[in-house]
Amino acid sequence: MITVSHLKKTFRRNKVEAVKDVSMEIRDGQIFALLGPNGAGKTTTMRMLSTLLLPTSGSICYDDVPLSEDTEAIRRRIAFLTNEIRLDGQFTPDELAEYYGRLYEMTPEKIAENKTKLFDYFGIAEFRNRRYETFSTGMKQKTSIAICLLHDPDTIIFDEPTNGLDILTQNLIEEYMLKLKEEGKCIILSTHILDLARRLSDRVGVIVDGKSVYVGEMAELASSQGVTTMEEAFLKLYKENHEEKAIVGKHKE
Amino acid sequence: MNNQPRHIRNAMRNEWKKTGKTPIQLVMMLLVPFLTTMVLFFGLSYMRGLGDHYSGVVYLPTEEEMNLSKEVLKERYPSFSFASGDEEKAQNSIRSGGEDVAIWITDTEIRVYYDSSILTSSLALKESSDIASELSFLLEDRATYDEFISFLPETMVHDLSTEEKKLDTNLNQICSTIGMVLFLSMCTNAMTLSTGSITGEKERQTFDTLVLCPAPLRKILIGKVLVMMFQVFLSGIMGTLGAICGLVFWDRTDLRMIAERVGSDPSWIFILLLLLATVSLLIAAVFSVIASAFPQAKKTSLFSSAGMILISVGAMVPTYVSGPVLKYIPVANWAPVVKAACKHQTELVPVLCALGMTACLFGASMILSAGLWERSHE
Repeated sequence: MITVSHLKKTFRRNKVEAVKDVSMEIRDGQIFALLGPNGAGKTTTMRMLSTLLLPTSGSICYDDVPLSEDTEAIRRRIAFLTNEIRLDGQFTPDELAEYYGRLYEMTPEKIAENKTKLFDYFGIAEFRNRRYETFSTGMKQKTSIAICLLHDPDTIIFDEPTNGLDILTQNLIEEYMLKLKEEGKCIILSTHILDLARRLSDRVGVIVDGKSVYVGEMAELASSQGVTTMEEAFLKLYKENHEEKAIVGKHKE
Repeated sequence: MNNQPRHIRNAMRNEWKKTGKTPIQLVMMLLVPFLTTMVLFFGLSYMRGLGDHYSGVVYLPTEEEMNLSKEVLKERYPSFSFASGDEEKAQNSIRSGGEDVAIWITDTEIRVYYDSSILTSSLALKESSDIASELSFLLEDRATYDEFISFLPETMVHDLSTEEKKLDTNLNQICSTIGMVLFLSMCTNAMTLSTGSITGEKERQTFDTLVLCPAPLRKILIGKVLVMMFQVFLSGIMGTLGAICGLVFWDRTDLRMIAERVGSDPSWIFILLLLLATVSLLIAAVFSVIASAFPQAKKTSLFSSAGMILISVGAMVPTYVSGPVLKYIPVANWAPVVKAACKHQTELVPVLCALGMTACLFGASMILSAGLWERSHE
């Protein structure tokens, strides 16, 4: 379980307060969707959760262990995937798996076992000896997911993982997320596609202008706002909490 | 703790594999220093050959005087030709760059024209004053000239320079040339490699994946820098081999002289390898700090020029400063130690001191680089 309390992030270089106050609780065996308009602070929050960014204030605890206390141990348990993350283009999926598996201190047997399982699922097996740079966007994304999940993490953080992908690849990734959920993994999914969140997630968090304005069950989102659809609830939350003078959207993470 | 060296080894293996993926880059990296040093030495040989040859012309007012001068003096002064012409012709032959020196003679005066900005022109000047004196007597009449020649005492030229001095002068030239060219080619390689493997991780957006691994970033960085250092070291060896090949073309006397001094003692190879190792370590350290500090290859390349200047200044120091301490300082000790090794004065202590200093600097640079690499991410 991940507990986030009053998370805040200010980028010192351009003095932008990207995340002002985010609190949430993410449970194991569930998919938690983080919703918000563009520039609301979703990616910054995800990068803090994945240890890539240090929070300015507030805390993140993985099973009651603060992230700052043992970052290395937490990194062994998590995977972070965005469509911005790339792998070395000169290497083949096989070589990439071997390299990152070793960096995760996995045994050669474990690397081979997990690699076969993931490569078979994502249809990479027949391209395992082709260079990553020669792959299509979808194949690159599938390879990135396979490599990120190689060490069998407990917590998987997906930042808009299906952006720019065709319907077949999107479907494959969505099914894999559900499979991971069934295995009891904790999945955090950041997206601005409401339909994707509705189909996959159990709980939801809405961020507007760097503040978490709703955290709760996905099924209760609409009723909690006194509306009938999720879209209406989202728009209502946005209108009620959006600051006209906010500089959200101008910051560069 | 047991996993610590494994991360460095893993990063090194990955980096080396990457090099194997671009064999052309590796071949170029080794071939360029080899050819650069060799061609430079060959070019120097050619330039030096040019310096030994010059040409002059003597302009005389009449055909008759011209024929007489040619008949008597041509054999004694083979670099000079004789023609009939006026002062303007003499000046034009220098201005056009056709001749190194031109002499114009009338009944009352001898004028010598030359261009002080041309090295061979200055060299020709001494001989032109001799030919001018002889001409003045020859143009009086043949008898006066014969008397003048018989009266002149015989000139004997003695070179008082010793073999040791000649070797020292030539070694100075060789060492400073090797130093500058080799350091610059090694620095260029280090700059390319560090930009690609350290800054490149951020530019290719592969850095986040590395940060997310539990392996400490500083160990991945050390692995990368050690491979870079090894490649720079290899390019240094190729550059040195090129210099030795160039020396064969350049001046066989120098090579023979050096070989005689060194004899069959192979210790110079060991010293040379240690020197190259210290230089490679230092270069790798300097460039890894620069590459870690920037997220864009463009900025790294720009600031790497500063690193190149730093290393080059170190290599140039012995040319302008002399002192016993100099040979213990890395990079600056290159020329004095190579000179000593060529004269069969094995000096292992300065090399080991420099290696120790370099290792400390390397360690400090790795700490700084790791900090900078991680910091720019946060």
